[in-house]
Amino acid sequence: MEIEEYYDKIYRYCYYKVNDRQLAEDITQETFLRYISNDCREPERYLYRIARNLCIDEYRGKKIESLPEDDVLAQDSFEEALLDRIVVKNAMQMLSEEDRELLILRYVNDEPLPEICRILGISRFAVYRKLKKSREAMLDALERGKND
Amino acid sequence: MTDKEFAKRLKNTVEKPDSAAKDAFIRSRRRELPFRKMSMSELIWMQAHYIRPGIWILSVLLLLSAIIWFGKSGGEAVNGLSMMMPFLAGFGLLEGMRSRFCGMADLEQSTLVSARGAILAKLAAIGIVHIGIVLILSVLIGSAGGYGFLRTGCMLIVPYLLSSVIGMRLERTPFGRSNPFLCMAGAAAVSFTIYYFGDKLDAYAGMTEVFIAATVILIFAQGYELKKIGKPEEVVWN
Repeated sequence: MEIEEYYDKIYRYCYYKVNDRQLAEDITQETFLRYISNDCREPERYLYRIARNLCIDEYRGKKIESLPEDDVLAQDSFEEALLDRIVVKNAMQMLSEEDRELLILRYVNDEPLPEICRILGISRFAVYRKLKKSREAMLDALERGKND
Repeated sequence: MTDKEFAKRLKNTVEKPDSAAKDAFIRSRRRELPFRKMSMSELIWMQAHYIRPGIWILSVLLLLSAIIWFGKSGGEAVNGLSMMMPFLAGFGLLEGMRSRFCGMADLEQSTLVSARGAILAKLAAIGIVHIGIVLILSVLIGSAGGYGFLRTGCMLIVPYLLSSVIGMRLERTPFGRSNPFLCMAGAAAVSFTIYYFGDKLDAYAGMTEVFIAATVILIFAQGYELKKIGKPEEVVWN
């Protein structure tokens, strides 16, 4: 896999964690810099781990807003698409940290199941079971968001 | 909601990273990052996926028709096949240069793989398959048709390489740049020459050395043309 692809994956992962485009980019770049300085191998596993820790640090440092206004309102070309984005973002925020992480890895970043097992350090069966649960939780959250 | 729809919905929520910032960061750190670069075989394999199925179908059809033809006419099929080889080269070249006549050359230059690399990889993918076909036909027709493996191979590869070299040369001309189908004119000219002057060329048919010498010269000419044609960046700047 090429660095461009890793960059996008780590960015998307961070974006869902911090909900801020600029911050997600900064954390993505910081992730790569730390990865280089630690002379790590297995990029899939370590990049996600570093990114996760950086997001946690950021979260502890300052309370992250659940939905930054500028990020959403900047792209108001299609009302429906925008509304859907808000609904999906809100639904994601309703999920637990673990559910959200699994959905990002599997559905946003298209990571294969064995890779998710390595990144999260859990068995394939556990990933399968938790993923099913996370998906159902997300669909529930989406349904609730739609009704609201 | 299917998995695909679910994933699409989630993906749509994320905005893409700022491409300028991403590009600047990767450029500044690429040497330090331990990610492997794409190998030549991976590049060729990747570009082979962008070649339209029609080219592969055409190649297989030629192989099948040659086998059927050989079954009916024996060794004489070689002469007919040598008239078809220029068109195989022409279509291959046309496909390799497709991005130019589709107006996509600029886009191809902005990707991770350079336009030069992409064109060469596409031509290499097509060339490998066509050389494979020539080898199969050489073994099949050469062994049973009485011409011999080497001479049959040369009789098929010479028109192919000649058309390819002429086509690439024509594509480099100012007229060729705006008329990508010009390479097919080169293929037609070579095919017509074989058809029209075939009897006169038969005088050299017995001389395998002549065919080998022609093949070697054309291989060098092909290498030179590939070197020249693989510089579209210069063409754009000029």
